Amino acid sequence: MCYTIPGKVIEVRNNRAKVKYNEEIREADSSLVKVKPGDYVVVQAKFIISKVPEKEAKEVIRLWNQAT
Amino acid sequence: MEPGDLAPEQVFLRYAFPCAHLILEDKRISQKQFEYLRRAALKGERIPKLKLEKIFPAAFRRLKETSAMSGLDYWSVEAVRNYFRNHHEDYIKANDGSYKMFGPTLKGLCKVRKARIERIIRKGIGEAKVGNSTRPVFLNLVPDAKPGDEVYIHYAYAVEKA
Repeated sequence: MCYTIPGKVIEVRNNRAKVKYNEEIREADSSLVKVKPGDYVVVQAKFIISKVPEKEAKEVIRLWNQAT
Repeated sequence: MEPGDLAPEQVFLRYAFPCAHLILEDKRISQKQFEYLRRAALKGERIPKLKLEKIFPAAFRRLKETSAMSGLDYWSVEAVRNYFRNHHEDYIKANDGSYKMFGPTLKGLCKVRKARIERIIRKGIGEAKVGNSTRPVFLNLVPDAKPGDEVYIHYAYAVEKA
């Protein structure tokens, strides 16, 4: 089953982004999708592959935190 | 089976592999198991059905259901393609299992879609056009894909030529 949660971009520099999740911050390549701090994104294989609208992202994160 | 023909194990893994990233994130498989899946997917190796079923139980359940409905032997290339290409998205739309937590963007990524490769962004990564939008896809499962080719995409991977 496809589990995933969006993360929030907190910093972008030279196509590297710092993406914040509940408990950790991870680095991801941001060369494929144009992003800025504050954007919610999906990462696969260390690449940002899609932006997620803020409202949708917050709802997924809320449901996820309820379920775990 | 003729030489060069694909086995259901190989086709299943192509379509299911993008989800292995998420199963790894969810800590339901180890990094070592993930690397095993990745290597097999890239090399087209056959992982025993029982191992696949243990790692992807939900996909197997749905594959069995849709194959029974279509009158197909579930463990055949035809049935595996029929499930992923034609019926996987029905389960997403119906909010089966964890899909109920997803919004439209994430559901859209999880659907298997037919797309056209628009351009190669750089080695191993292309831009795929799906409907009216484009998105980046990894090409390492279809390394000879070139602009104009039709492929099936799942999450961030082109999984098979159409």
